This record gives sequence, C-alpha cells and structure tokens, in this order.
Amino acid sequence: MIFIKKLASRVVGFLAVIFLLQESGIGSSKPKVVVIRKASPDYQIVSEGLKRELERSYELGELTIAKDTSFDEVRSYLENEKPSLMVLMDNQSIDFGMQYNAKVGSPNQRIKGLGMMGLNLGNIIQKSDDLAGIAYESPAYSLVTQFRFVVEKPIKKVTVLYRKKFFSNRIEEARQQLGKEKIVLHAVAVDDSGDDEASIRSRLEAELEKVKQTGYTDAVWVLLDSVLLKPQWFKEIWTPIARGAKAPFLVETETLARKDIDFGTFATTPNLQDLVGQAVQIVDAIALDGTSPKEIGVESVVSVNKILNKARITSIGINIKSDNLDDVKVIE
Amino acid sequence: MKCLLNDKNKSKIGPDRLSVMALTAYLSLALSTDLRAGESLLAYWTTAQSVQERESALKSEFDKVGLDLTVFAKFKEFNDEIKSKSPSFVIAPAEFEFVNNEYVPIVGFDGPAGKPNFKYQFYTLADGGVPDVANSKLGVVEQADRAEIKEVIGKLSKKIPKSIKTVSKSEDLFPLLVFKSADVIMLSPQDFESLKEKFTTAVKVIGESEMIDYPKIYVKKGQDAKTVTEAIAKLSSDGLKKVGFSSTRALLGGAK
Repeated sequence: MIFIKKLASRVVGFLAVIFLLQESGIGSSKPKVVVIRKASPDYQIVSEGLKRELERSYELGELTIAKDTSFDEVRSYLENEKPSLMVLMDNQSIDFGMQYNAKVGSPNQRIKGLGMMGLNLGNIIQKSDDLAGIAYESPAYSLVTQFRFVVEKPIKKVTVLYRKKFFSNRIEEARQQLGKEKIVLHAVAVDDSGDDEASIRSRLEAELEKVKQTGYTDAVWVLLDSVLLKPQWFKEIWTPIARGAKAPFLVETETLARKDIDFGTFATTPNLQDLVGQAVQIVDAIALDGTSPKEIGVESVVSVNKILNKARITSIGINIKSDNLDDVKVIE
Repeated sequence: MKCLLNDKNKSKIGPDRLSVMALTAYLSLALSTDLRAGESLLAYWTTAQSVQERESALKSEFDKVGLDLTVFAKFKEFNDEIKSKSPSFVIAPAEFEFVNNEYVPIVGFDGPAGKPNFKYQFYTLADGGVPDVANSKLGVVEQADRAEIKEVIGKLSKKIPKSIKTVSKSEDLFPLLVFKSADVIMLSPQDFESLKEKFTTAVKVIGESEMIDYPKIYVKKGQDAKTVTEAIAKLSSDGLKKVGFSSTRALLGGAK
C-alpha cells in the first residue's frame, strides 16, 4: 500500500513538473521568435498575423515599445528571452536590434532577425550581416503599373523629385523596374545644386512648375520623404501644383489620396495580410532552413492595396476603366 | 489551458433535453437528403480574375441548382473556412490533397480549348539567363500549408526547387520576378494572358509542369450528390466561358 502511495505521489510530481515545463516553455524544442514593435494598429495587425502563422512551429514572445523605451530595456528583454530570431517592426526597433548585435560582438551571441515596417531599410539593413528586411515603401513598379491598369491614359513617362543623398538606390532600382514596362523614369535630384533648405526648396518649386506644362509628364511619383513633404512645403508648393496640373500625382500613403486633402490621384500601400505571409517565409528561411539574412537582403513589398481618389481623377479629366476597379478602393 | 469539470453542471436527460435531441436527429436526417436550397458551395482556384468577376459570372448559374456560391480570393481564407465549416460542396484545384482526402470529385471543368487538363508554365525574365527550375527561387500562388508547399509544388513541377516564394494572388507573381525575390514564376497559360493586360515586362517560358486537371467540384465523402451532379452538368456555358471554362463533365464514380 505504501509502495503504491509513493509511486502515485511520484507520478503526480512528475506530471506537475512536465506541466510546469510546458507552461514556462522550458524544454520546448521549438525555436523562439520574438517580435519587438510599437503599439499602433498596423503593427498590432501584423504582429497578430505573425502569431497565428508562426505559433505551430515556434515559441513566441513579444515586446511592445514606446518612443521613450530605452535600449537597456530592450537589451534586458533579449538577454532574458534568448530568442533564435527577432522580428523588428519600425525603425526604432530595428535600431535597437542592430545596437544589441553590435554590443554583444561575438557572432555566436548575435541574434538573427527580420526588420520590417520601417523606412529606408534598403540603406539601413545593408550595413547588417544579421538582419534581412522587407522595405515598407510601396514600390514605384507597383504604384505605376496598378495605376496604368485602371486608366485609359497611356503612361510612358513618370517624373519623380528626390534627394540623392538618401534615395539614389531606390530611384535606380525603380528606373530599372519601370524600364521593363517601357516606362521612362524622369528623376530629378533636387539637392543637386546644394543640399541646404533654400536650394532644395527653390529647385523643388522650379521642377514642379514644369509638371504643369501639358505633355511634360504622364504622372508624378511622390516619394514619401519627410523633408520634401514637410507640412509647409506640402501646403505652399506641392498642393497648389497638384491641383493645377493635368498630370496625376501617385502617392505612397492613403492619407495623401484622401478626398479632403485633394492631392493624390492614386495610392498603393502595403497589404498587411500579405505582408505577414512574406515575413513568415523569411522567418522560416532563416530559422528553419538556415539561410543567412545577408543572402535574403531587403525584399520589396510584393502585395499592395490600391486606392483611387475619384474626385481628383475626374478633375484632371482622365477616364477610368471601370471594369478594372474590382480590387481598388475608390474614394468617391 | 485549464479544463474544469463541475458535476453540478451536468444536466440530466429530461423532456427539454429530449426535444433538443429529437430536433438534432431531425436536422441530421434533413441534411442528408440530396440538393437543398441554399447549400453552400465554397470555391477557390488560382486565376488572374477577381472574386467579383467570377462570382458575377457563376453565382446565378449555381443558384439555379440550389448552391450558394462563395468564391475566395486567397488559399488561406478558403482553407480556414473549409476546416471550420466543413461544407458539403467545394470547387478546388485538382491537386489540393486535403480536399481529395475528404471529398470526392463529381464534376470536372474543361478549359477554353475543351480539354480537361493543362500544364503550368515556368517563366523567367526575358533579359536574364535560363535558370534551372530545380535550382531556382520559384514563385507560385499559395496552394498548400507552409509545411506541405514544397512537396505539392515538387509534384507539379517534376523537380523540387531550391526555395519557394508564395504569394496569395497571381497578380503578385510579376512583381516577385521583377523585384528579384523569385527568379522563376509558375503560371497557367490562361493566367499569363490575363496578366499581360497589367504587366508588359518581357518574360520567356523555360519549362512546364506535369499535366494538371482543371478545378473540380467536390462533394463530401458519403454524401449523395447524384441530382446536383446532373444539374451542374447541364449548366449554361455562358457563365463558364466568362471564367475561362468551356463546359462541365460529370465524373464517373463521384456521384452516387
């Protein structure tokens, strides 16, 4: 009888230990993936999508950060969690992840990862051996080909104004990609004759004035550049010209294609559901297949949402191919 | 995580309980009869056409035979819906193994040339080299779970590619190729023709898949579908033509 009691108590103890190990994740053979992100809705949507897709194959963790989160807080989280891979959403998280790897020094202690939903990742992640990335900007190829599909006007020449100091790589990539569609990218570096504010402003104004000439360009691609689109310049330079020109302005955010803003004619933005799928494939490639992040590099967003500002396109007299609007959000 | 069972909450079988059981039994019986009004028909197949185009072409046709058609744009949404709702009827690509495990084909669609099958083609950029599909990053429309996709594509393409990049809709395959995220993409010749209206990037064909049947209509195993099968086989071809099919065929052995 005593033997049976002892045995039963050992079995119960053993089961309790197993339960505790399962609950704590200790002893789990799954690789651990942590997401470091801001709290805003887009990050939450993507983070929840990742969780749904990854939970069968990975142990998951998440850290939500704010503007005032310090690097030490993130470092302490990573030291505690010891993940196999980190998904870093937005530039602040990516910066923390890169700082962490730079500080631990030893290659064995560095954490591989994926940077996404941040701007200018082509330049930022290029410097890292440990991170792959997905650029968050909507590619010009998608923006222009999707717009061309919904309008009757031929699109053969697209004009873009940019700062060469930050956007040269992106412009060159876009030029090659649009070239495959026989579309000429007329790219003007507005910091060519000086990168001080006055020089850039004066060049920007002069180049945008040309856009008003009939036949100068078939469309204007508006880069999401916080300097060129600073509120004062947006109000004083961009908006009056966009409203006075016959060329459509193609933008990279839905806000700029809003009816009340009366600026952008057409926008493409990353499709967040499909972005999750793209990210999951990179996570699998690094964590399960052993592909090096460097080999993956920084991918472009593949799937986009399409938004058409109907009032704007009507005002510039371009006819729409209504049969091709099935998956386009039309702002009436 | 926790599962608590409280004996006090276990109800005894009383008159109320019996009436619920009777109702359930009645419903089960009713649901086992053939061809009911408003029976769900969940559909997914890879194509460059939008959901709206396909639904507007086919919905009224299937209404006539008592099937309420819902077309899904993405594999994942279709897969989740099938798993949660377990519908009696589905339209799915013939190569979907999870459908083949639980359903029986009752009607096959024929392609535009009247043939029951086709081959996917492998495309690469015209201004690049000729990559070997087996050593390529192959871009495909998602048609299986992550864990199974390599095996499924391996069977279709005759070779297992080095890596597979999936997209949720065929229009994303061209960007995948142009952005160099894939060096080869797999498309049906029909979808390629549709996508040429949107993308003019020059590509070349470097190979083709095994012969694949066009999508089929399936019924849940064990379900009687003779009447439905006969009705579907007589559907007007106008709606079918709009979605790229020429006709339907009742499949031997599928219907009881």
